[in-house]
Amino acid sequence: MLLTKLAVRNLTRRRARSILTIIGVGIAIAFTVTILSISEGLMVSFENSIAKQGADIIIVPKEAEAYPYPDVAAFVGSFPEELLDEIEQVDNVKATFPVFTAIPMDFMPEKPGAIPMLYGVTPDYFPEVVPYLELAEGRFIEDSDEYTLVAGSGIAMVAELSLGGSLEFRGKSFKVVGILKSSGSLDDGMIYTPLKGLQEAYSKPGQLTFVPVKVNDISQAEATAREISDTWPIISAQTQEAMVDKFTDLMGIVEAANVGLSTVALLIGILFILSTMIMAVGERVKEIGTMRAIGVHRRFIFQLVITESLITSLIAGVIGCISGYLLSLAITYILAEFFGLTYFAPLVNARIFLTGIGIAIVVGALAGLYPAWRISKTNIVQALHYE
Amino acid sequence: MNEIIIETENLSRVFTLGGQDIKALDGINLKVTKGEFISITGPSGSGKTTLLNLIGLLEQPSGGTISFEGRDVSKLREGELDNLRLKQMGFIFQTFNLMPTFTALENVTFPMEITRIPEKERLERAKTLLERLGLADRMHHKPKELSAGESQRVAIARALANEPLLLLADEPTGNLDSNTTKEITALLQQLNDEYGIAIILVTHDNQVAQAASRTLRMVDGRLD
Repeated sequence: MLLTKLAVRNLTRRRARSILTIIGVGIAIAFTVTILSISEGLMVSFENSIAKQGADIIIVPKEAEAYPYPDVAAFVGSFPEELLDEIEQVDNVKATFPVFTAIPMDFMPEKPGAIPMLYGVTPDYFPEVVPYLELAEGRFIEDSDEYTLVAGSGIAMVAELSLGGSLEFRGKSFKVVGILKSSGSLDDGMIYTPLKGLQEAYSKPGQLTFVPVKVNDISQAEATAREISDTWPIISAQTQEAMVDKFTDLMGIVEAANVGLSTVALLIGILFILSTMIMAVGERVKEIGTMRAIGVHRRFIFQLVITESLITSLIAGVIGCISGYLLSLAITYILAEFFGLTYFAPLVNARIFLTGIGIAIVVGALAGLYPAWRISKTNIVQALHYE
Repeated sequence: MNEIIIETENLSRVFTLGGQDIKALDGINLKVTKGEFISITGPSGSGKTTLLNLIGLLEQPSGGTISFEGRDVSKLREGELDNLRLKQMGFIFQTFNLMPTFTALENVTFPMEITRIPEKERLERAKTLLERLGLADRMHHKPKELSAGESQRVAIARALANEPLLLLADEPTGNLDSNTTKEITALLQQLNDEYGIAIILVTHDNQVAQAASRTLRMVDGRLD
């Protein structure tokens, strides 16, 4: 109680300096919380798209083999649809779902981030591969459709799509027949069209960019994937599990970057508080000498400085966490509103908040150690005559 | 009645300055009895303050011993020295050395908080002391709102807070004008009478020194 009272009095003694320090450390923590919550949100959205898919094996063109996400295939290559007839003859294969993807880079010039992924699919793609998608209004694609589309909630919002409206791709007009509910996944930024229509619009009739496959015996999925890859050298088949693993690896890199970033925030925080505390105790040498002379133990002085440092960093931590959360909301809003990037849903969970507060505590404790140790060791007589 | 509270035997303190040993104290033998009022005078650099610092257990002697109430304290551990200073000694400084963020009352209760005296008792004791020292209406003022004389009286109240046996005053009137000096000197005399507390006072001022019952003079690290 006495420690806290004294610490608070000391901190309010130089109000401007304390506030500036809190702001500095708060910014470092806010920055970390923002980045963590955005990348965590992105991770969840990727995970929702990949891990929830109903496919057991994914086939992509050989060139796209190394990428963790099959949509990338739209940029690097394609393979002929006829292959599916042969692939369906492979023992364990139960069904294939042909997909042609395209990415219209010039979709909305005024919102450069609003680039939907176009998925040309067959009607059975919805119940079989993405069963988690639900319609907000309208219907899914039907066999008789040629140039229709079902839009993800995010892209529908950004492009202001409504039922009965239309979008033009490569000179072909696609009519909006359905709009999806938000699924918190990459699907929110996708537009589904009938396979043939999209292939024709992009002048690639009969070409596919990826194919989800269902198998009869999931335990043999890996062998089946190997068999497919080995039989047709122009394509590469991977199990859904392997895709998720690859994705998890990628996320590991993101995690490592986050740890690096948190460490930088930590160092900035420590330096801020350290310099403030060194200044603060430097001004109080005589006062601390007097306390020691009166009989106050060295330990009390040590604890006092650590308490001051911890109070500063904890206030900064709380402010940093809250403003970091608000900042990530603002960034997400700006990305969606002005750039059309709708799949950035920031995620603030207890873990991120605890990371923020944890950084604050570590910063406070570490930054306080040196000044606390130094001042508590001061020679009493010298301190009493310090001017 | 003549109980000895402080006894020094052949006490010495050597400083090394630029490779040269300087004897600040050279074989001091001194006995202070309970309730005694001693003043120490002498020219600058004669070792008065060093003697006071050693008696106040603020630094370690280079040689000789100090006993407090018959117990050799020159080799005690730091924590025990802290406790002795906290409970048995009161310090008064030339520059008052009050805690600037605390009010007069808080400055006086502070040493009692460290000794964990219950709040009610420490408030009562602090108020009684401040009233006794004529500061009844200044209790809730911070040091910067107090005059020099008032500040030194708060410092005296703080020194008395834990009811010590010994008061150590290093030039307590060094920063005061002549009227306030007289007032503080008289006050120390009264406290010595009233509470029977022993006082060791280091001063340049012969008039102040005259208030003591025994006057010692130091020259070149020795008692004259």
